[in-house]
Amino acid sequence: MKTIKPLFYILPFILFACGDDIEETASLELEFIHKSGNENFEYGKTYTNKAGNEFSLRLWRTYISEIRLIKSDEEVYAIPESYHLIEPTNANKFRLNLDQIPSGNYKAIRFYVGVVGDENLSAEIVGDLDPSNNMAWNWTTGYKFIRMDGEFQDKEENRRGVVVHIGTEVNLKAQVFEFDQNINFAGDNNKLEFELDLLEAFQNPNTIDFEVLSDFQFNNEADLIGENYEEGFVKLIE
Amino acid sequence: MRLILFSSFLFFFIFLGCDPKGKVLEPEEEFELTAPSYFGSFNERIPEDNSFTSKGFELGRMLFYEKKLSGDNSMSCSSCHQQSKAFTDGKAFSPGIDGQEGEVSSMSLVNLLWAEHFTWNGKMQSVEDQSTEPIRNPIEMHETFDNAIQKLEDAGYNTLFQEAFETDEITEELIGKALAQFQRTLISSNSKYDQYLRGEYEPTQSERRGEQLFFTHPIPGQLRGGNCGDCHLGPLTSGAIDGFQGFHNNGLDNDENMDEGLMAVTGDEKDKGRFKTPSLRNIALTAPYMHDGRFESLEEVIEHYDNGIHQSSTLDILIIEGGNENQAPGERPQLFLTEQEKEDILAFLNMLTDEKFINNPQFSNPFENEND
Repeated sequence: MKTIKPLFYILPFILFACGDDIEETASLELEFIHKSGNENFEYGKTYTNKAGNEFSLRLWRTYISEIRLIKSDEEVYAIPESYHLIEPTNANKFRLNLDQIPSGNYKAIRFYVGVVGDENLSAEIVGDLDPSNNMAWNWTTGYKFIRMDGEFQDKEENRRGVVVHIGTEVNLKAQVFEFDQNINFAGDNNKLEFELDLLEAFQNPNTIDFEVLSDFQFNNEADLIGENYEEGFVKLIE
Repeated sequence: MRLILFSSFLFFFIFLGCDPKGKVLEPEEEFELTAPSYFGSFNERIPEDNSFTSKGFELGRMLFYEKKLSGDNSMSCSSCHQQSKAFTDGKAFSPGIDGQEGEVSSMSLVNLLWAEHFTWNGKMQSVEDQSTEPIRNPIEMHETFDNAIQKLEDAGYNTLFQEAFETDEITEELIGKALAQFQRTLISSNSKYDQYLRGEYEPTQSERRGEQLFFTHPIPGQLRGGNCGDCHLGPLTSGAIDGFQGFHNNGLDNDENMDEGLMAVTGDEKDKGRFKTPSLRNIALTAPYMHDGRFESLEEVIEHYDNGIHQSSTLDILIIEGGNENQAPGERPQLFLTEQEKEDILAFLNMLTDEKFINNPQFSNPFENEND
C-alpha cells in the first residue's frame, strides 16, 4: 500500500498544474448480486434446484473478463487488464469499481464469463488472475471460470458433493447487455446492477439432477453447466 | 511493481512538465523480498504497520534463535522450528521447557506470506500474534514478557529495537513484529519443482506423472488423479488463503474420535475435524505428518488418502467426490491408486525439497558458535 500513497499527493498536482488535455472521465460501479432464484444467496443455506435436489454451497466464485463498454456511436472502451473474480464477499454482493472511463453516452456493456486469451494459460498476475487464489488448475489447463463447492443429501440420506469446476475455452461464454436506453456516464455516481442466479447453472437448457450427476470438473458433463450459464445466469437489472 | 513504475512515470512527468514545489520523499530502507510470480502477489499481504526493513529482519532473526525468550533460557523458536528440517522438529509433539508436550505437531514455517489463520486450528490471525504465543505458553517456552524483556534489555537489545523500530523500548508487540518480519522472509522457491516450472530442470517420467496425478481430481473412467491439488493448491501446495477455506477434514477419524480442529475457533459443529491444510513445500523433511504426527512416512500418508479415509459428518466433499473408480453413494471413499501411481506421487512430493532454503545462511542461527 505504501507505494500508492505518493500517487495521491501527486495526482491532484498534475491534474491542476499541468492537466489541460486530459480527457474527462467517469467512474462506474458494477454490482453483482448473488441470488438463488428469487432468494438472496447465502453460503450454507439450502436451496432446491429444478430437479428437486436440496443443496447448499460453501464456495461460489465466477471469473468474468474483457469488459467492454460500447458508446452510442459504436466506439468501444476496453477496461484494461480486465479479469475480475466475482464472489459474494459483501453479504451476497460484489462491487467492482471501474475508474477512468471516458464520459459519454453508452448503449451496451459486454464481457465474458470465463477467462479470455492467453492469460488463461499463464502464471502472470493480470487483473484478478492469480495462481494462488484457488481458481487455477495449472497453466496448461488454465483457470476455473466458475467454481462452486457444495453438497446435497441424496434419497438415501447420504452426504454427497456438488462440485462444479468449469473451465476450458468451450465454456467461455460471451455476455452482451444492451441498455433499454442510452446511459450517460459522467462523474462518480454511475452504477450497473447484475444478478447471478445460482439455479440457472443447473437448468435451461440442461436440467441437472444431482442424484445422477453432481461432479462437473473438466469432463464432458462440465460443458452442460457451460451451456446453462451461457444465458440467464447473469442478468442486467435496470 | 506496476504501481512503483507508474509513480516513477508520474515523478518524471512532474519534474519535467511542471515546477515541483513538493518535497521528494525518501524511500524507506526495505529488505528485499522476492518470490516467483506463480506464487501470487504478496505486497498487499504485508501488514501496513509492519513493513520490512533489513534491521527488522535482522532483529527478528536474532529473536528467533534467542533462548532468553524462554523461562529457563534453554529454548528458542528454533528449538521446534529447525532450519535443517524446514523449520519443524521431527517430532509428533514437542516438549516445552518443563518437558510437557503440546497437543499438535510443530508446523513447518514456509511461504507464510501466502497464508492467513495460523496454527492447525486457525486460531491465530497473524504471524505477529502467532509469534509471541509460544513464548508465553506454559507448555512451550513458558516465560512472561516482563522477564523476557528484562533479559533482552540486559543483553543490550535496546539499540537493535531502536534501529528496527525507532524506539528503544522493547515491547511484546515489537518482539512479535520483528519475529514476523523474519518469518515472512522464509520463502522456499528453489525446489526441483520450481526449477522445472522455470524451465531449468527436466523432470523424470515418474515426477512428471506424479505432478499430473497430484493436481488432478479423478473422474472415474475419464481422468486418473491423486486428488491432492484440490486442497494443496497450485505451486504453493498450501491451502486456500481466504477465510477458513483452506481448512479441511481429511478423513483422519470418524465423528466419535475426531479432534475439534477449527470448531475450537468458530464454535461451529460443521468445522469439527477441519484442520489447516499445510504447505507441502519440503514435505520430505517434515515427518511425522498430520496435526498429531500420526504418520511416520509419506508412504503412510499416501496410503491414508488411498485407502484409509474415515467417514464422518464433516469429511471434505472433495474427498467424498474423488475416486478413480465408481463407488456407491455412502460408501467409504477410496482413491483406488495403483502402486505405480503412488510411487509417482511420492516422486513429485520429493521434488518439493529445497536444499537452498534449508541451507540459506540468511535464515541460520546468528549465534552459532557463540552460545551453542
